[in-house]
Amino acid sequence: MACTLYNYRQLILLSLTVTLLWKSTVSVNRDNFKTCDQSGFCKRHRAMQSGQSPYVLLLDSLQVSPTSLSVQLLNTKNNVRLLLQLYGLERNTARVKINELEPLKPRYEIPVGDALVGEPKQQGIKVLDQSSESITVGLENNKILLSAKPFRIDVISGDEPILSINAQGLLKFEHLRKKEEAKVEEPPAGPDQGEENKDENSEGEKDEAKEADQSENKEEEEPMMWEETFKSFTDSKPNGPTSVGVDVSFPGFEHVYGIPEHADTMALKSTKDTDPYRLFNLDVFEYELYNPMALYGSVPLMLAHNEKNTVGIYWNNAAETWIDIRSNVADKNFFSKMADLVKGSTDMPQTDTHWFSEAGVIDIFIVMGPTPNDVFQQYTKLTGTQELPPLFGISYHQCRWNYNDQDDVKNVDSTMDEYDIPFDVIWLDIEHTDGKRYFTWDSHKFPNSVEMIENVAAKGRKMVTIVDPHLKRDDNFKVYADCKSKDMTVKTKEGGEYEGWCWPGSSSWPDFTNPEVRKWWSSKFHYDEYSGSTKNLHIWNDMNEPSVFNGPEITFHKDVVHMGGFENRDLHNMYGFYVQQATSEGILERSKNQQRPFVLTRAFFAGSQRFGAVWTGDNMGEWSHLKVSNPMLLSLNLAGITFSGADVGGFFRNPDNELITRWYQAGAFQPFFRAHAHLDTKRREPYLLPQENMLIIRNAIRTRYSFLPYWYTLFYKAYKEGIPVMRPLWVEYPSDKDTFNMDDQYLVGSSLLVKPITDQGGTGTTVYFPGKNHVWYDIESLQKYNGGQSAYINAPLAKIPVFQRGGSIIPRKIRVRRSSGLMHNDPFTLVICLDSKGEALGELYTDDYHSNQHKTGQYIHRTFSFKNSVLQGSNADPNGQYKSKEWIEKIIVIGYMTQPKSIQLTVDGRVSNLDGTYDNTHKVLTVRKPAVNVAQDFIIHVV
Amino acid sequence: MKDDLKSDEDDLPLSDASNKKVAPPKDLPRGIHMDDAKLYTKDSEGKFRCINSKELIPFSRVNDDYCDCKDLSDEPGTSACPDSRFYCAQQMPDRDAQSVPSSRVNDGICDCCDGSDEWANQPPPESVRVKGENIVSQAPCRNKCDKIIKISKENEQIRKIGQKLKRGYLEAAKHVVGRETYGPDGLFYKLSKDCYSYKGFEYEYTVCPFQRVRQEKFPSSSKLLGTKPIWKQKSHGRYVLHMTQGDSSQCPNGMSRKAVILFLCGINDRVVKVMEEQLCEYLIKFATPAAC
Repeated sequence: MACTLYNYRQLILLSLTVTLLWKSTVSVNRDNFKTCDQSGFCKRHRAMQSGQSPYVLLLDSLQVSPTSLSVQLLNTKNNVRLLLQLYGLERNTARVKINELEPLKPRYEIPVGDALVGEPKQQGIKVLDQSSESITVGLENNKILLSAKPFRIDVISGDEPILSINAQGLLKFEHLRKKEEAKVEEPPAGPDQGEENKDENSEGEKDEAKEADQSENKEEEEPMMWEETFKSFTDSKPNGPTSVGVDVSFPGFEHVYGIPEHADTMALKSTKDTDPYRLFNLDVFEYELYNPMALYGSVPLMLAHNEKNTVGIYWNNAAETWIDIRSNVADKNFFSKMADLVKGSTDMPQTDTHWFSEAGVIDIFIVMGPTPNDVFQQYTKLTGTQELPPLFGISYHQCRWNYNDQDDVKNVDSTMDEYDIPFDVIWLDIEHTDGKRYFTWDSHKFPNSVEMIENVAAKGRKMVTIVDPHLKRDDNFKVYADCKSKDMTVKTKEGGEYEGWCWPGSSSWPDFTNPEVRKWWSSKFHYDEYSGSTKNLHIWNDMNEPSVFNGPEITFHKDVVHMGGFENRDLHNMYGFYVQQATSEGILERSKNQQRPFVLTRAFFAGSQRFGAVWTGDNMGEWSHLKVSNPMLLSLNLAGITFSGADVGGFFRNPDNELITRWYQAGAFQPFFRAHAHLDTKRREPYLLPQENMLIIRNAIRTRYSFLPYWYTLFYKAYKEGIPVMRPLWVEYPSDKDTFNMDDQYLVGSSLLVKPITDQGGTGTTVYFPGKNHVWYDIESLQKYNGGQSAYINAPLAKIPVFQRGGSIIPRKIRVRRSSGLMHNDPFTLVICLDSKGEALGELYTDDYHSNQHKTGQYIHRTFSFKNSVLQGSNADPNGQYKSKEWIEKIIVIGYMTQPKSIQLTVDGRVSNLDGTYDNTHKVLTVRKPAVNVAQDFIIHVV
Repeated sequence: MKDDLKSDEDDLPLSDASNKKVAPPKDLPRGIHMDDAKLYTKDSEGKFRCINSKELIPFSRVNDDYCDCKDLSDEPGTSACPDSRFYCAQQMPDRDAQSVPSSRVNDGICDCCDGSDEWANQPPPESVRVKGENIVSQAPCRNKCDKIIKISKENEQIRKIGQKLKRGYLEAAKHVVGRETYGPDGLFYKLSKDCYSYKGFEYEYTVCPFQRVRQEKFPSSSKLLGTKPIWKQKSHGRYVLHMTQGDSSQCPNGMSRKAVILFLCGINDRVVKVMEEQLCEYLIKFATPAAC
């Protein structure tokens, strides 16, 4: 949950009691967050003019190895030398790294194994051509051309140029330098600027500065290089200017995607008239929609897509980063557009991007596709795939700030059962603790948490408690005392314990960037350390950007010091990543690596998918926030974070009955499905709503449960191959231009098309059915729609427009129980929608749904194919050895055109007859009770 | 809490082991209601007719763990037909039929007090099994009906005593002008003459029904949680009184505090529990013979 400074004052003034805590209903206070103009390095990079690159390659320095080359880069304006390294990596991937040749001290690089899951595997490159002006390197079917003067890199895939680096000449690498007393700038004058912010330098030194300004590096000395001030906060910048930036162009591409997290459309917009997109993990109170402001997490991955190719770049840098986007299509002015209409446009579309980070090095991974799935696999090879969630994790979660006490928990749990609304997890927010000391319980409200958890767990459910990274500075709080005595907190620039305000009041933060600290944190989840926890308790990490109520931009001061003397400036966007990593590893450890952890995080970075789920933070109970949840989640999915969701109902404010109903319907088809609500809001558990709404919501949740086998199979594919669960249409229909901007409808896997109603009073919507030869079937009415066209779908309140693709087989479980935990052994129904040729394909993954034994072969992966009236179930993976009680109870074949005479089942060479029913009106054949075990091979002949 | 009605903590349907006559004969399909027994008989050709949708299916397909009937009537004893009901084997006379949704049949959780919904005697999936003495019990189930019946009988006794005492409450209001303010025939009038206190973890509460509800935190703060009474429900044995227009400081959107008094049957007049269900809204469970 976010907190404004206003709240912070309230917190202090009103003695931290819950009943006294309230939030005003104004939206984001933009003044709390920097614009590009208020950020020195952003301003410096953005002010650069294209076409004036001072950088040249020194080809004499070229060194070539079988998989890489290195060559020096000279800044001809200041004679500082950089080192460029180019690596060939497996799977059509290249890496371009630029660092100072001889930095004064090492510049920060994210340790291998953190964002990058390991050292990327290199593969052979070949120098194809070399002259005094350029080198051409071959990597698989790609050519990488490095031009010397001015320096630029062009990547050509086949014959198509797909990407250029420094084509505009915006490379800017602020080398480390000593703060010569002579070069101290005058503090900029401003309303916040008081005497106390002035440097202690004497007037005499300032005069020297003026003289020095006239020397060689004059062009680099600009304001805000050695100190900058925002509001009342002064950033001391002991290392001076350290930023890096370069432009990356995508010739032939009109559409770029990714770089979450922003509350914006899926297709990224030109930033010509706005600030650049910002990546800087921040706790933004009541965020605004459709703008490039930073939010809670960052994944510096951008995808470019056109009808022929998909490519991507991963900017491996954890410092504050801004990205400018220009498109020669979007930025065309009205008159040139008019001219295009008259003449027909002959321009090739191109998107130019400009990336700059406050610190670190330039480290660009170019993933060259060429298909969307290739890009996903290439990227997740680098940063890891989505960890396979336990089944309860992808079921329905019931959360609220706060369920007050054990009775409250028990009451919600039993009332959900009374109304027969399935749910898997009940959550406890910050009020469950003893004074916001995480890992503790309020002993009055939760005198026997173990009994409470185990009672919930007895019905196949789990509980989640919140554990935030800020520690209450109270020596009697043992986690804090231990952290302090081990000297593990984040430090001020002077070396003392960094102190800030958060929920508990005065707080400190463990330095999660240190692996030893992470190990220590993990150990706090052991059962003997976290008393009152059980194996059925999982964890929620909030406020891990981190949120510091009285810090600049509600987070750490940039000059706080982490392990190795690095500043928060160097690695800010990794902090939340490490918190979730350490938590997830703690849950693993407490179970001796047997249990799959479930850890939800608000802050994230590239690679966070390896540790659990992400949600889009503190949204609002407004229709616009329901609508934006789809593009926000699509962007996360494109960037590897597929296990993601938005608070159903909206965190702030009270949604009306229609909105919350529609929100449940949308959430039921989004990967992470959790209802959550702010302390100030009215209770809104589904059973409290009018019966009409309750029944519709119940039905939406039950529909989710009936599709869990399909979701679970998709999560396995995400885990195994990096393919996202929730996909933009263009991922499956890459040459269909009409889909490139579409973010109000999407695919779950490749077989379900979803278009949630997100408009107040909506009674229908126009759905675009992709695929020229495809057919789609409404999952409820079985009404058929042809692909390659749009149709208006009536959607009164009870209706979720969801369609199954003809040609697909979806495994479902129709026996929906009160929790997914009680459905582990239940039988499957195969829902087969035939394509125009009468064929269909599908698959099913299953295991014990909770442990890590799937990693040692305890799983079952099946494929199903329907062709020429024969359904065949076969093993997709002979390495899977799991024995399951699950069986197939029913097969529904939709689009089967003739009434069959008989149905024969063959298992192990034994033939038997099956019964079935045929619905001539809807052309639906139902095969009765084949009763084969899920792991068994079988053939069903329909005659 | 011996003098208040005990809720079915176990969340188990009530049933009476002593009364076997309502249970269907043994040769009838599992899970049906006694009154439906005649519907679950073979016709002359050995078939079963789905009760409402009227298809004919072989009788062997009743309770064979596959849902054949469109109206879901062929699987009263399994989980195969979603949204149908399973009737517990032991039923209690003079009460609504005890049943559970079909989705609770053989899910490993004991729902019927006699455990009849877990006739397969299989524990729930491995990862779901819990150890220890918990209120929720998992299969294989023990028959807990005796305990339920005991609670039920105790409740009945309390209710009877309460109903006797209730006369005094009506008596007290007999000559009160405008007594309908205090419920039907002024039933709760007597409570308006007194205040009742309750000590919570952080606060003490003073509940003066129809007058005011206050929250005190010593030594400093005191807040009015509600003062103007509005009946939300006063019939069918459910009595819900809202005490509105309390203090509005620090409440979301300037709303004023509200105390919701839920009157429950008990022998003595007392506040059982106070909980701030959501910000500035307090739920007060109040036991009184008047609600019996």
